[in-house]
Amino acid sequence: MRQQENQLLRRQGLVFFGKIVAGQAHEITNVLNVINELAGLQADVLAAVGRERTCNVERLIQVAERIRNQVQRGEALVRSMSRFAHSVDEPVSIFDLKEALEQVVCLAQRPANLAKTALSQEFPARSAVLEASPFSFKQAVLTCIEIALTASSDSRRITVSYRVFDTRIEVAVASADPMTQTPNVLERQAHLALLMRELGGDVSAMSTSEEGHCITIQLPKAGKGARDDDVAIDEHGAEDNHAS
Amino acid sequence: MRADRVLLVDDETEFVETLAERMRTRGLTARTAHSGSDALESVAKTTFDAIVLDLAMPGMDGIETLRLLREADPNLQIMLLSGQATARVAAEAMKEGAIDVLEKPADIEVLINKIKEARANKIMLTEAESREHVDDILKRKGW
Repeated sequence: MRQQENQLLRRQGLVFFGKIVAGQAHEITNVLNVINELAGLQADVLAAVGRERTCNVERLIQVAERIRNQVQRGEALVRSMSRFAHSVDEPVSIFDLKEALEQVVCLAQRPANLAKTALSQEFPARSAVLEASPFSFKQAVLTCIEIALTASSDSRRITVSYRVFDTRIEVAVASADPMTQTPNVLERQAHLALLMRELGGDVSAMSTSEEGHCITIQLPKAGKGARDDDVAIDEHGAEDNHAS
Repeated sequence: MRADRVLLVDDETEFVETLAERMRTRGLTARTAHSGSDALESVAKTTFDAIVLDLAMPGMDGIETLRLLREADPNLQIMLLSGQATARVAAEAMKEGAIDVLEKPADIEVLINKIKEARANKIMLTEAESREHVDDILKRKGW
């Protein structure tokens, strides 16, 4: 049974990896297509110089600036894809919670856009350190976002947030819409349960027609000494200013 | 003769606005829409010789937009422009009445020639419809 679950996790991990890479590749292609059109526009402006004997320098400068903006956009996408690709390097490593979540929110922007949903993050200023599989962690949070995206047909806003407690962290993915239990959602919930077992954490979900739904995952923090400047909230949820 | 009128539909704003700019410098009247629903609104207000539609768009995708546009006016000449058109999607688009499925990046001259062909097709379809209409009136009046 355990072996079958591990095989399923590996297969789903591969599917997940492929999906993320394909999405990022699509975004990079968009950037290249824009650069291609802008290069064409630059050639059009230069061709007009031959015909009209005047050069619209200002327009050329504007086009160059637009190309630079697209190059920056492309660089950010490549950086994000590279960081994601490296998250499978080590089965378990020490990583920063906030950085990992920022990356997940960035990777999830495309599926959120396609679902016409605004995906935002509400993160406290300080972070925490986790010791787990960064790949499985990102997969778990993205699966929560996917559930939120598919759980409701009219989902318009999803917020990702986290809280740091003395010994654990809590990541919440909240949507204003109540959860609908479609086969697609149930399948993702089963996948999430397997991932959480692998990560050594817990998952819980709350859904009401008034408050929408919220999926929460809880994980233990990395052992003391990994970093001592984490924000501290006691186990009852009260924020504490001293370091944990 | 009036300029060719084209509607470019793509959620990638910078791409579609640049393409429109390039078409305008070539004498076309190019309008843009950034979603399927925007495209439907534009078509309700203005007549276009051709529509160039992106396949992957948020909310209403290219195929669904194509279907709704063709429902609104079966004579609309719509081509799909996509960076990821598979054979299956291309076949589906053609079944739904697209006149062509082009790969991004498409050469602008090729695109403009397709728009000109689309305009000629539309004129033929409209003329054929008008002839049918006149024949129908003549038949009904017994002339």
